[in-house]
Amino acid sequence: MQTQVLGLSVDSVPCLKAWAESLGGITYPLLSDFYPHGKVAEMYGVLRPEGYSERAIFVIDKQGIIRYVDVHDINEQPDNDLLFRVLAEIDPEAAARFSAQTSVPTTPEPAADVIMYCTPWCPGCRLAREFLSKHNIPFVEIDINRDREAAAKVRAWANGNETTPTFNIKGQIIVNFDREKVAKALGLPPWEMW
Amino acid sequence: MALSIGQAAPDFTLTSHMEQTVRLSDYRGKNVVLAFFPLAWTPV
Repeated sequence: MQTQVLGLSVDSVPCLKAWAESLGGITYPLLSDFYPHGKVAEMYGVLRPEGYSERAIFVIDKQGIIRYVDVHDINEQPDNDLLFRVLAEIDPEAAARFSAQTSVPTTPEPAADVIMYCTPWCPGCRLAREFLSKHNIPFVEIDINRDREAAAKVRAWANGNETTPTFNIKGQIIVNFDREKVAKALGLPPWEMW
Repeated sequence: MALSIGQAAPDFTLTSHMEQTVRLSDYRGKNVVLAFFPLAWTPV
């Protein structure tokens, strides 16, 4: 939607590179505010005395004017929906185009007995993948970072959290890789839960 | 907080993880979301 996301941290370029790789290929530039250390964070007033920045979001419009500032709890992640609402406010036209683009091809739920909502890097998803493969159980994976409709479903099931993995096993929703529940839903005997 | 809504965003030039030089003012004409995060290896 004519919007560029730029990530910034005080890490060095090689460090960011390694991190980006671990995330499975990130789609926006991660910028290194490393030398002079935290200069940009300081300019934006978000450098902490510890030497790293706050978790903060600045939305800048097409004319280069700051339209939204959010400095949030260091442990809290920014909310995509919130960002979208902010963008819709400063550029309704672009937001409308974006919604039209994304909402038309409504992806139907895959016709599979086992659907796993996951992300490529979450450790629980990896364990679950291994578990299902070991038991020769066919399953479909949905990456909730790519499929935001699926992410909304997960939030509805998981008290507003995007908990991964979350399973839909023959219509039964299981939030988190709870081996006992998953094994039971799959009709596996208890001794097969590992 | 040094900056507030309605102010011009200070320009900067930084190197990305792809080793490209990125200048904020190059994105004039686009909306930009700047996401500062404390350290790598923490959730984005």
